[in-house]
Amino acid sequence: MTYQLTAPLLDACVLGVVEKEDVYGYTLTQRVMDVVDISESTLYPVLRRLQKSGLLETYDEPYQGRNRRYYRITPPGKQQLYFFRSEWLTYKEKIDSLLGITKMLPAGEINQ
Amino acid sequence: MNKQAFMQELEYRLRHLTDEDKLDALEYYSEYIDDLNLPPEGDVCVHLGTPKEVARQIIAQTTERKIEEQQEKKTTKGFGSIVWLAILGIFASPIAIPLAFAAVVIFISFIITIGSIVFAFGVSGVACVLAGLLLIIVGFITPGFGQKFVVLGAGLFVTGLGIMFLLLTSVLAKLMVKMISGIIKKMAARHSRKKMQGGIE
Repeated sequence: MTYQLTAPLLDACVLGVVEKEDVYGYTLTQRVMDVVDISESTLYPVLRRLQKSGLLETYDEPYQGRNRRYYRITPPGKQQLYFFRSEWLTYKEKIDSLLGITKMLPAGEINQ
Repeated sequence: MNKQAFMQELEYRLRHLTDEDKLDALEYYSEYIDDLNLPPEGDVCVHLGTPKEVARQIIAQTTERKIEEQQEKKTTKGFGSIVWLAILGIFASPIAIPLAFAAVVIFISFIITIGSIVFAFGVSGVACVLAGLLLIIVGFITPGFGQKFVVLGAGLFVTGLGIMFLLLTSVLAKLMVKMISGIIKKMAARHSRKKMQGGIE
């Protein structure tokens, strides 16, 4: 919780989860909350924005007499995710080098 | 607060959004609360926060999106609904009602002030054009060759000035819409980000 999550990074995380498999609101929220400190009402506006900009699409499936809305990634969504991935890698490497983390160090040495 | 009360208040707080935006949000949260598997009278707010907080995030995000759509289309259409959403956003924000009221009044005065300046330019333009046309007409019935030319020339000059004013008015009006949309967008963005502060654990 030391580092803050920015809006594009949260978009990237959501796209990443949805790319693996179609999800509905609750499981998506739980999956993101497992890793990142967000509140349970954070993701609805994010999902709505991604849906409105055509990166995600939805479909309904009946579940125990009610509807469940699943989110699925679209081809433009995948493009955006690839972009986010390469941006993240570049960013991560730069920060790593500033922090003095190199891939050469064995894990034990980093922890010291 | 149980599900029914939560959904009722949320619906009330989202009443000014379009039906599509409102229904989508209500369906999402209805489904989400069902998935929480709470006992019948279980407290929804423990998970989601108050309906007010949830509504604030939705309104802020909708405002931001509407402005982006407007900027992409490069029109000034829908400006009224954006200003309206901004006012709702101020009232939905977690500040005391008198303060929110003051903020809304300041915001509206700001828009009226800038609007008046643009309006003044427009009126000046119309007045100049009318006066110019009148001078041209008068020019034709003025006795004496020299006088005719002086009055006609003045008429053309003033008409031209008026047209310039009108052009300036349309540029200023577009600039005003762009500027105010920009300010609202920044405010909305700050609101929707506030709840999102978190990090990697």
